[in-house]
Amino acid sequence: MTIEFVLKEQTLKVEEKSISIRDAMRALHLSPQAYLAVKDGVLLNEGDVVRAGEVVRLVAVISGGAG
Amino acid sequence: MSYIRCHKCDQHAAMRMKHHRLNLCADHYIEYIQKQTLRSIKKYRMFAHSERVLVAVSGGKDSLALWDVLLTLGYKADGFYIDLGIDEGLGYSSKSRMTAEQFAQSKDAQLTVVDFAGAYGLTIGELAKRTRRGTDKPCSVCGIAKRHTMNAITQKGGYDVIATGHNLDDEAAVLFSNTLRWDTDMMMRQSPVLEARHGMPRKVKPFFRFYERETAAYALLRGIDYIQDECPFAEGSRTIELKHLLNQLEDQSAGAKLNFYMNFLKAQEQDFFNRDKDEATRANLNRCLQCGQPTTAEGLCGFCRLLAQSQR
Repeated sequence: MTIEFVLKEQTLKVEEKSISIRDAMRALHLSPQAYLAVKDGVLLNEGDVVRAGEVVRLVAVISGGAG
Repeated sequence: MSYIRCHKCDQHAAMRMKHHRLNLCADHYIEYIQKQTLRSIKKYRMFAHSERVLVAVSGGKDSLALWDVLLTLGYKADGFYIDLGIDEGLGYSSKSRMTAEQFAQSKDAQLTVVDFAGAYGLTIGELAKRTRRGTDKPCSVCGIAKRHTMNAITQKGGYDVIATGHNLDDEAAVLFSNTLRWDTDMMMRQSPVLEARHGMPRKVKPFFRFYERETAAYALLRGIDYIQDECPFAEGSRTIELKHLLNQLEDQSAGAKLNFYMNFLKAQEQDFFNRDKDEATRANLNRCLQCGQPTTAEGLCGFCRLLAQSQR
């Protein structure tokens, strides 16, 4: 019943059968403006639903200047 | 996978841009970013296909995405990377330099690399410590050094224009910071295009209408290998704090950041700020006695003063 979200070296867990990216971000207290979600190499939108057992990579997008 | 589909082809939408009420699949998103960049370049008269463009490359998502778009659009765009010697146990500069070099190689594009320590005898961190300007964080010294080196390389290489990867979040954060201090002098100077003056090259920001997550998405979808680690000195920076605050506004109200910055540009056009005063300030620029670059000071420019201080 766990969905894993990997952010750099950290693994964040959401205990749900399934959840949308929008709701997962909310549950993890992350701004959807600041992260992109990628699963199996596919960029997910906020309405995409992920399920228990799946692993989603979160890519932080904020940089200090013109990165 | 999702009920959100591409507005153009009905495939899975990779990106949802609420502020534009637009959802696009990966292919149409890539096409969108390239077309919108071209639109900004033309609308704001940034440069022509006949001109030589120098892209300031850091190895990060914005600058490499910009270089990729400009090359795809057929512009004569070379890259320029400054190795600032930032290590902090992470090898930040060497990693980002390698990323920039690998990108250039993959595109068969020309990249000029300046080794700051090799050119000036000390790293950016050492320069900050010796001049006591930012002993913990060399960010202000770094900004001065980057501008100086970019100007010098542009002149030496005969480039017409410098293009940087500043995105909407960068510009909105600067505007937010200036607004909080009501620094109208700085606000007057903020623009996607800074015309060439007094020997300084034209500087442009073709990505200024894209959100930060949009440039990151473009880089990911194009398979651009960029350095995802942040500069170690950027952690906890004021800019990042302001970006988080602006993102809270965006979460509440889609388009908040875009409206904040684009309406500022409209206010500038309507002469909300006194441009005459800024023109007068610029007209009084002097030439640095050491390097010849323009400066508001008499004698040495800010960068040459730093170097002189570091040698005392």
